[in-house]
Amino acid sequence: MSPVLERRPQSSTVMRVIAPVIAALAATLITLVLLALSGKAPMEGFYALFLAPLATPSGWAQVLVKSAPLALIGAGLVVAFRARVWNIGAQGQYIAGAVAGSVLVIYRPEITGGWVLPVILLLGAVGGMVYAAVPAWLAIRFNANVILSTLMLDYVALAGLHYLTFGPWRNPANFGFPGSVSFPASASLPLLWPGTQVDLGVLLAFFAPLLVWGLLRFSLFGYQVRVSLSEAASVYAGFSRARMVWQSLLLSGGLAGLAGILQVAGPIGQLQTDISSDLGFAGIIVAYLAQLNPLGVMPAALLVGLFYVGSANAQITLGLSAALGELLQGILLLALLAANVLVHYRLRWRQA
Amino acid sequence: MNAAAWISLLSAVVVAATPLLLAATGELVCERAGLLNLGVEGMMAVGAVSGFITAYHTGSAYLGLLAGIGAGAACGILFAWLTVQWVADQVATGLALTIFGHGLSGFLGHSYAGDTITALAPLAIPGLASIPWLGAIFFDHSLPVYLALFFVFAIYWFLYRSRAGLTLRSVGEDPAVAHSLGLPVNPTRHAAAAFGGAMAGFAGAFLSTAYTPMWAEGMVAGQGWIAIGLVVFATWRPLRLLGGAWLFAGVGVGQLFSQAAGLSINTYLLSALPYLAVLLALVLISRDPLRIRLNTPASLGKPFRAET
Amino acid sequence: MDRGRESKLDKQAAVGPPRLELLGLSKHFPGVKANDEVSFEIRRGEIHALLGENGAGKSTLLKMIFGLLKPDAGQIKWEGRIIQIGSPRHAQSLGMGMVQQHFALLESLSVAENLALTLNRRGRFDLERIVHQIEAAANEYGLKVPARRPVHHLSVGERQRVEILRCLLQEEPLRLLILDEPTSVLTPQESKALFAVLRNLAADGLSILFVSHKLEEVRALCDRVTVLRKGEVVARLDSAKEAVDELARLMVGEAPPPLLLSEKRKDAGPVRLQVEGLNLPAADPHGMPLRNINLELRSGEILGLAGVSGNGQAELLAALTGERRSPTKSILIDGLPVGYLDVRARRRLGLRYVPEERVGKGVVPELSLIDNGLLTRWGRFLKKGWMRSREARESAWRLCERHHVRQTGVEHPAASLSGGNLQKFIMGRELDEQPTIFIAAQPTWGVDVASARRIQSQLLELRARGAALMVISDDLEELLALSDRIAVMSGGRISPVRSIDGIDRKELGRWMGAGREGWESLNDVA
Repeated sequence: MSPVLERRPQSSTVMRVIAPVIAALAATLITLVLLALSGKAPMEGFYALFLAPLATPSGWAQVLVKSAPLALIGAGLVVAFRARVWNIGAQGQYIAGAVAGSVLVIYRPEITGGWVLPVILLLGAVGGMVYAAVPAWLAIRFNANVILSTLMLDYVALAGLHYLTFGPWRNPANFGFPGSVSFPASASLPLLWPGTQVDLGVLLAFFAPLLVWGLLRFSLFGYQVRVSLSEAASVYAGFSRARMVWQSLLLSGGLAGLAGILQVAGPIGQLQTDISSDLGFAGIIVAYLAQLNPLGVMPAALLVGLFYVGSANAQITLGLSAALGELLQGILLLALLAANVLVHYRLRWRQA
Repeated sequence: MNAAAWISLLSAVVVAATPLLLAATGELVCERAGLLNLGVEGMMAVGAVSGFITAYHTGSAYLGLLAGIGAGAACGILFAWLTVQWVADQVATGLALTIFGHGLSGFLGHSYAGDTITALAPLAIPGLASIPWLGAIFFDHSLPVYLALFFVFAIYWFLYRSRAGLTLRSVGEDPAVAHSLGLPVNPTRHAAAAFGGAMAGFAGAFLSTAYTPMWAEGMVAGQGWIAIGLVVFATWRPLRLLGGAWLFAGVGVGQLFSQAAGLSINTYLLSALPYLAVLLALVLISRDPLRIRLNTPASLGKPFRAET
Repeated sequence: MDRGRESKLDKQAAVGPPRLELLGLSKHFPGVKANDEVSFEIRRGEIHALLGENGAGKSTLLKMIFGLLKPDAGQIKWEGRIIQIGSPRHAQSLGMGMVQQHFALLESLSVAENLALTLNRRGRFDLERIVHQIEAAANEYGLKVPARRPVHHLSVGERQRVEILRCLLQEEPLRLLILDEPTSVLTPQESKALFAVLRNLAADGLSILFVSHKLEEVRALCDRVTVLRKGEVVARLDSAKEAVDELARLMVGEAPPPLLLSEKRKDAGPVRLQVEGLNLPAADPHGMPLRNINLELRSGEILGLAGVSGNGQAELLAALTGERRSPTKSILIDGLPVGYLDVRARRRLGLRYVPEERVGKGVVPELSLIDNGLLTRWGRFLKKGWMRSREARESAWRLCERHHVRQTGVEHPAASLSGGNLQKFIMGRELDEQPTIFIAAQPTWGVDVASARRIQSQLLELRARGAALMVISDDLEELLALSDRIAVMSGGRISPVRSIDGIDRKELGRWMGAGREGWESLNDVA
């Protein structure tokens, strides 16, 4: 007897939902084995990673705060990936949003007023869009590969952020440490849950996947995204590929930029060198884990957010590497890709 | 600059191009077989950490290189298993591999942060190394530097002068036709992915055992991505990798030299230069869509599964 | 019955023992019974026809014989021994060779490189030797090919010769040659030359399995016929000299519904679509540039565009429909220059078309019938940027109902439709929008006979309503039945347009093959 894959006549909707669950279980198991192999107590590690953060309200709050930018970035990437526009540069667009949104605070720290915060958020979103417009333009005008151009721009954005936070935007009162001035109250997001970092930004972020869902389901834009599955059919329908590339990059870039400024004007409170903590890449995981369905983005973001908080917790309590979170994400996505084979194929046992 | 400075600059370029060349040669073979593996960055990270740990414990940088090659190949096989056997999306799998590799190298390397090892010793090639100028630039380096050059020419020969290379190109152009001709499509793709992984692992291990023989997380720093860009820049032709690798490495090395020379440009801004150079090169090379389409392996990134 | 057996014995004595015997081969795919207990035999030196319409299961059967598919049940006997053919290579080592309908050639490789993939696998890799082998064999069998040229520079006929040479040159001497619809891509002249080569090969003792759905060819070439319908053998004829009507009845089953024949064009209506001196470089490295195209499409007529595919038809379609822009004044709709207009704008002017690729262009297979029903008319369901989804659903139901599209629910993906239903869906979607100019590419290719007749009737109906139609097809018979006027494309150029009355088939055939030499000296007689 040997297993063979047999193509299903139609892809299985049930499996599309079950596969991420199978993948999460498999990833957990693999992680425990890895912990055991590296000489740590696996059950302790399991507790520190997955249970401890959920044992206290403040732990829940941390998970919510970490998931918020992931939900925003993931929702945008769902659209881009569905449109077959491989925007791998959410990281750079996130930084661009954080930087653009900080401009006002850096140069006019004294300003106050109710208009300040909305303007700052708008600047952030626009910053991400502008930064995403570069690869869009290069792709349309010069046929440049989007994967590579968005990726290279990630590194460029990071260099720019270093330059600003170590250089012209460094707060002189920081005693030589990098980082900008702190955001004043008028430029910071109001807290929703006192005593934690859960602020208005978290609420906004969790609305984004719903809005994206509605957009994809009911709008002409969403229809164009669906048809993008086949380039020839898009041409036949009279849709412009260039427009699709522009729109999906601007949308995903704008949401990533918004995620950036929401972090800076929220939990972080200033423009720092390490604001990104690889959220852009984690957003890719979230998009795929959601099976490119906007409604899946929220649970996926919460799970990956839990990984972030759990691995930070494990670092403190067990002295494990902070990279454990990233490792978990990688294993999870690999497991999901393996599990997804069941969406299109059936496993059959056949006589050898 | 005087002659000695030029020689040391060019010699540094040849060394700095080595990881790019190794990884790009592997990726080129992989893409020529139709597999777009975006996991080079992650496979390099895995190669780097396993190379370093092995060298640290055995005291042999050469064993470190072997360990890096093996670990990279394992990643490549994982990629092939998912994308060939289980028909997973190649873009997603590559990205997953990158994130996984990053995480794994951070996780394993955690307790080695800042540790050092004895670097791979240079092997001057007798006779050639004493040629003025060229000797110091090309023939006074560690083993991987020579191997990187060797592989470029070997792969050129393999692709265009051997039956196996012809088979590999056929598989990359049209796996359905290759399958119907009775060519071993899946085994070829597995082998190509394993080779690509091994070369990426080699490149990573070169970084950690020869280039900067000290463990620091994130030492790959985008070189895997640059290697993928290099393959496009070379329009999938092995010999053109050389020019591209030297160009990109040159920008990186030039940036370091200009800092040392006290040029008054901000270091952080300068550090973006290699990536901008890749971007610019990509734009220039891609401008003619016909050229890209003519040279891209036709099945690149597309899943293939034979009926049974 | 008795007489049948007698003649069979006669034949056997003349041509020798069976070389290949199929014993009850069956193959099922999810939801489809592709082959059901298929049995027949092929003898030494025999040209055996496997006759069946599109979708009868011929390709599946060939794949099982050639080791590309595993049969679910049944056995294969080769020269008297029961064997299991595990791979194409195994089949080759037994002395089989197959030329598939879609050539197994790699476009970017040269002819010699293509052959090197499968020849002398064990020997040293030596391209020069293969070039010599090709040249020698080409002389011996009368199959001329340029050994060093990349395949994408070759004509279709040359490519087929390369495929046949590959079989003839294989290591194990060739004993059975399988040809899958070999003439579908050839001009009549090329077909004739091919038949001569095949007869010579058979006379030398080669067995040939000739797969076709063209009755005349089978009658002209083959010794015996096996007829396949819906995966089953419905007849084994010891002689192919049966009447064409009888063969047709066997192949199709009940007699096909007659074509709704409206009378031919009475008067030429006004010109709706006009092409003037259109030149367009190839968009694709393997494409065909268009050279000085001139034509007119009038209201109330069908213009047939014949030619072997790959001669610029796809490029012309792209230019006419706006998928590729062309110089403004090279294309006129109702006198209006439209070369710069895109697909949407031309659609608004009443031009609609059905592409050759149905899956992946005519519909997106993964999307529902609702979404696919909107593909070319989403504008009608739009309200301020939002899609009116209830109307879209209802419209999809109506579309399926009106055009007899059998489906399992409009929420299901288009991939769930069968070939004939899919084409009815696509045609229906376009026809419901009352086009004034309509272009259909390969409208009935691979469609079952009943659906094909329905589609052809719809085209004639549309003509009766005064639309200007163009039908692009490989199938000359179909064009002759439908068109009022006919033209041939070859080498990116278009021939003079001829009226269907008193048309000279030989001339059309020459034009298809010879390219411009055939018509260059003529004035446009249309």
